[in-house]
Amino acid sequence: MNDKLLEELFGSKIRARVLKLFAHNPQLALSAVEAARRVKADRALCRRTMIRLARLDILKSYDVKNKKKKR
Amino acid sequence: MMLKIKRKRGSVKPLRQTVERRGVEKTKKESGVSGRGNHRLYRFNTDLAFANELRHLVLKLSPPAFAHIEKALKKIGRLKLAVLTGVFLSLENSRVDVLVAGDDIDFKKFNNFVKQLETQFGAELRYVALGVEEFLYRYDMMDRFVFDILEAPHKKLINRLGIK
Repeated sequence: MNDKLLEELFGSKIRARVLKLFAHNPQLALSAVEAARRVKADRALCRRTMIRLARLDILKSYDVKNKKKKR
Repeated sequence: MMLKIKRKRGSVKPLRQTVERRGVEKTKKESGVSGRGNHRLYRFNTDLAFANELRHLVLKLSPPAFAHIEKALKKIGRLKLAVLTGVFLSLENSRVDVLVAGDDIDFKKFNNFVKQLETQFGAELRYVALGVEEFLYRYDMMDRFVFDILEAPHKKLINRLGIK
């Protein structure tokens, strides 16, 4: 995979991967844990990266109250 | 025969507690729910002025490495046909991303291959794996599913069946 350019440009492997994940799925909302699973990266690292991207307004974050399971 | 377990008296209960606690922690982590029961979800910010440009930049800068994929596919089994569409060609509405027809497909390897691709693409892939016989049967009877794939833009990595 020719990802070197992307990684160098955005400064880190994880940032490139997270950006790619969301670029491929613009409608998809993910928790940090789920995103970490998908990019196969450390959870804490992934969360930090996503928080930074959210601060830059590249990602949107919003809180969801835990819904009770419907039967 | 009785099985003797050496353990100090009173040590059973704490062990059970730790096991239970571990179990709870695991399920919590897996569901992505924080202790307070709230999620924080992240999404690509499409309101951004340069949202589309950024998206296309990221997608264009990471083109699929077809040679690499072909190499990996050849290790999976005796493949006669491998077709890539969907996310590989940035198509929005396609039915599948990968169509593979071959014999002796090692599904363990195939699953690993798909998973690897999924992390590279950051998207879940939809794929079909068919035996050669089944594929030819479907092809000969002009099966809707197979034809939809072959009529849409696609890229054949392996084509030993002489299919147009």
